[in-house]
Amino acid sequence: MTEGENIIKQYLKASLGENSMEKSVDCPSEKVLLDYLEQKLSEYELKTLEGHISGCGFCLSQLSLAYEAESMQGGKTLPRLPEDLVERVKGFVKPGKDNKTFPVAKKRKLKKNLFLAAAIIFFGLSFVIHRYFMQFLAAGLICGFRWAIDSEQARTLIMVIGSWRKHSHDDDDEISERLKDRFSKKDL
Amino acid sequence: MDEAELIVRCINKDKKAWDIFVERYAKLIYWAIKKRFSASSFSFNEYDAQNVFQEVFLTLLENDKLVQIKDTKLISGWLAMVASNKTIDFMREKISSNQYFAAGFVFADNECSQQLLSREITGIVKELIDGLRDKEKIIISLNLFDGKTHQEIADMLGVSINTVSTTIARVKEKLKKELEKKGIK
Repeated sequence: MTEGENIIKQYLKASLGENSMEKSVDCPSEKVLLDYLEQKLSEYELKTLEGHISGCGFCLSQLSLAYEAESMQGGKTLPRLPEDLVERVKGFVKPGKDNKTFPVAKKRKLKKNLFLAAAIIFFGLSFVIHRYFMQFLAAGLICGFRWAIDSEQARTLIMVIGSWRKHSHDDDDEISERLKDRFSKKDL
Repeated sequence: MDEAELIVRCINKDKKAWDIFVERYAKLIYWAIKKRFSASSFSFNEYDAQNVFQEVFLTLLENDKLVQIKDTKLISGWLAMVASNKTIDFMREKISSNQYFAAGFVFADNECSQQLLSREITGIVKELIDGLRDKEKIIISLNLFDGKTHQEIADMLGVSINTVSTTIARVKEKLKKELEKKGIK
């Protein structure tokens, strides 16, 4: 490796490496990254996504991992793993039972929506207990915000707004039309 | 059974399909977990990897997560990313509970990298990188940050190998000139 390459590598390591373990709120979903690898994105979506990826160590490493996983089929030797571990995982779905009421899944879904439930309760309480109206309202807003940033749609929205702010505003009307198209798609 | 049918049957919690799915992708998921642990310089053992492995399969079952990929061809890539995310969650939990100090190596390494470059050189490189188009930044990062070959980058991004090679050579040449202008060799 030449001196120039080494300097750029050190710079990239310092600037991108910092967030290579952190998925930020504006990181796209795995599905969007796969669409990028499959070259399924529209020109605008591509521009938005590349704007994000070029400065995100986490997304770059995810893309790289996905590419390696796809290209290794039948190639590199994969690690051996204990047979009992495989059997344990197979046992997650029981034969002939109603696996749709998967207990762990139900519990996790409940946990995920805990902030939404708390937000609704606090919001309701703010109208019932007038003395603490502002406190309950603030608590409701905080819980609501926490729930919202956990959802994939929020991530996409933040990514698109970030890109919109970064680029020129000459074509605002066109962008707003594309935003509407983007959110009408189910996967995003 | 083809991939699309397998995924749909797994979504419906078909036992036979689930067993085939686990057999088919277990090794790949285990590989992705270990790769993410290693890439983060995280001190892990087999027990940690096995814990994350089970978490990944639980995640796939819950909330019908497999629905996301029923129309995609890149199932292996998606599974590797899901496994990687779960590994990161695991490491973050361990770091926050201070059980694994080794994870700090990632950050220590970055600090070293920053110290190695003088402020002047960092400024030149930053200006150079910031002046690139997004696609060019991705090409440079995949090559020098991630160690991908020119051919691999071309395949990943759907561009010609000439574009990749030219971009990398141009950036290196530009940096060389900028450093020479400042009297740095």
